[in-house]
Amino acid sequence: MCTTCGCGSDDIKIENTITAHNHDMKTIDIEQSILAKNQGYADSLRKYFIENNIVCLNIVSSPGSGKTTLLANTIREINSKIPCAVIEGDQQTSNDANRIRAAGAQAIQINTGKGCHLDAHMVQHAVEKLNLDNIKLLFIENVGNLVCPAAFDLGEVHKVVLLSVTEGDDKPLKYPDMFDAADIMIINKIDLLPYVDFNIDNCIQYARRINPNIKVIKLSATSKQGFEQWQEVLSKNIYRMKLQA
Amino acid sequence: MHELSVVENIINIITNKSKKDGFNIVKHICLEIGELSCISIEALEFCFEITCKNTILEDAKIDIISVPGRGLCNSCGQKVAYKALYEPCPLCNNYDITKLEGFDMRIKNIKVQ
Repeated sequence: MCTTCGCGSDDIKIENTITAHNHDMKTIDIEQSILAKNQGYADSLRKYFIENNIVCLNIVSSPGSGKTTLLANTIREINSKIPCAVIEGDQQTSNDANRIRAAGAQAIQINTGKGCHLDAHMVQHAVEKLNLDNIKLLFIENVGNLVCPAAFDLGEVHKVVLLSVTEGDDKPLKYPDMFDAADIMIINKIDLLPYVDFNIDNCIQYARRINPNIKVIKLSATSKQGFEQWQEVLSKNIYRMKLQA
Repeated sequence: MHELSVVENIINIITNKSKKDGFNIVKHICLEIGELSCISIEALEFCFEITCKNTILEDAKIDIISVPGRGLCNSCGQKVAYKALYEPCPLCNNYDITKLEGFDMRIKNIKVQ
């Protein structure tokens, strides 16, 4: 046996010649995206949602922007006419899933532990545990994080980034990956505008530098100011999904 | 983003490939990382060394090709260097730029024995 590379057998005879064999390495082309596995799960989820007429939205933001309040109050408004379900993502606790259930919709909680974003594999497992038979709208409330969730497709039809007026109007410039990945931006807590130093026009301008086509909705999840525009977006997507069937 | 989970993804992809192609030792891996992708090359190299211990990539030398950002300006129609998402076209100062290169993270090839 060659003690260099382990090839050969005990039958090889060497007679006054040095047997040189090839220790060269073999190159194997891979040419694959590193996140191909997540994309595979996401594509499969997207196909499932289309086949079952479910509009799926991936809601992302910093912690505390108002995602859960927005979803709970949206559900209270529309759930009787448009059945909703929610997949909740947090490091720990079921607090947010409990809030959604109290608002009247089915919810399942994913706890990521040390993890800082949801991925499509986790969402796939959550979808298997939900009863989505009559569901028209599935919201995924991602882990509160304006960085990591940007890179993970969850099979959604829209990634919706929430930004509240208590956070600073230059957020889009400071976290460009997320505002680039999203196609809808909701500016929340507009009822607090008189009390904070937030220039809404600047914020929208900054977001449009990163993503010229981003749709902007201004609302308050608590006072329901601006809710009609949000409900219109939801209805339009449900209608579009019906047409695809 | 976190480079640790990126390295874990790389290890999974190569381990699955080794089962299909029947190799056991990876001596070299070449990655293409876009300058505008969401990971830091230095952090990736650091994580690589630690995370690959006791895996098929334990002895692999890593080469990272950094791919600069390029975009197509939808205003002046030129292909331009794209250094950051918040920067405008260097020629006409417009912000409407379609991404062309520099955003992906790919495994280009491996060398095995």
